[in-house]
Amino acid sequence: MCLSLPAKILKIKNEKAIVDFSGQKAEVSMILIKNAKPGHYAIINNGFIIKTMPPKEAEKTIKEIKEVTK
Amino acid sequence: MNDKGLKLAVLYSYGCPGSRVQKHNDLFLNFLKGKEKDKEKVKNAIESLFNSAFYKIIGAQIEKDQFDEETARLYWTGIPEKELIQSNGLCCFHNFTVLGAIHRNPNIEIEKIDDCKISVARIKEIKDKITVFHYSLIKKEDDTFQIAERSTSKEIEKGFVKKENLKEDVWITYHWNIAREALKEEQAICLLRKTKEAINLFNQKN
Repeated sequence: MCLSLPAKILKIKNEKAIVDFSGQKAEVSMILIKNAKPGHYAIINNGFIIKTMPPKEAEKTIKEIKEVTK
Repeated sequence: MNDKGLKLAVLYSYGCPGSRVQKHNDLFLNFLKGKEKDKEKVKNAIESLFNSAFYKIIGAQIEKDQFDEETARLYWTGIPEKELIQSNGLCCFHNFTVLGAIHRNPNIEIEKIDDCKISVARIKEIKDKITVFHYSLIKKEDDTFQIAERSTSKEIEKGFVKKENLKEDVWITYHWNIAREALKEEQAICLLRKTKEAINLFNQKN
């Protein structure tokens, strides 16, 4: 949808990141966004990080998305 | 900043879940009605949405501003007739990006993804709402997607289609059951073809 749940970046290695989507782990590409760091949140689309978000903003977004998609 | 591109980005972003979550809908509607004049505020709101990353990628590829009309139109409708824009294997076209959401959100129904894609439709009847012929997104048993070969009818909001275009047989786009704009026949064919190409690409990758 025109909405994506932010995922927490757990680990980074060789332009790949392991992210946590509310408990579900996935490996995603960092080829488009290279300055992400563990602990940051990322917006993922089709296996690519397309945007990063500060933790506070991400946590607020996750809460609001859960409200909207209830 | 190009107003036409910003207006197009707002036209297609209004009413979608991202705009609802970020509480931008009133701002977007006022901007579309000409009541909101603060373009920087609208631009910031657009940049807070998930899709804005794609405007940047497309803009860089076609050497246009991220708010250029061509940039926004390529992302939302795939028009004009060009190859699908890709960056390192990621397809920068809305009707491709929506399919990715279903993989991370197993509870999202196919109907929601269908509402989220930019649909091509032809006006059949105009009353308080408009009845259109459209082509649904289908999820097959093998988990691949396709566009229905035969059109079906549904009722949608008149939305933002200009009065002079609210006529039987006019091609339009709609998003979240709100009509967005009228298209020429060749544009409608282009959007439908690009959508099918994006779905095929998604099916191959997944």
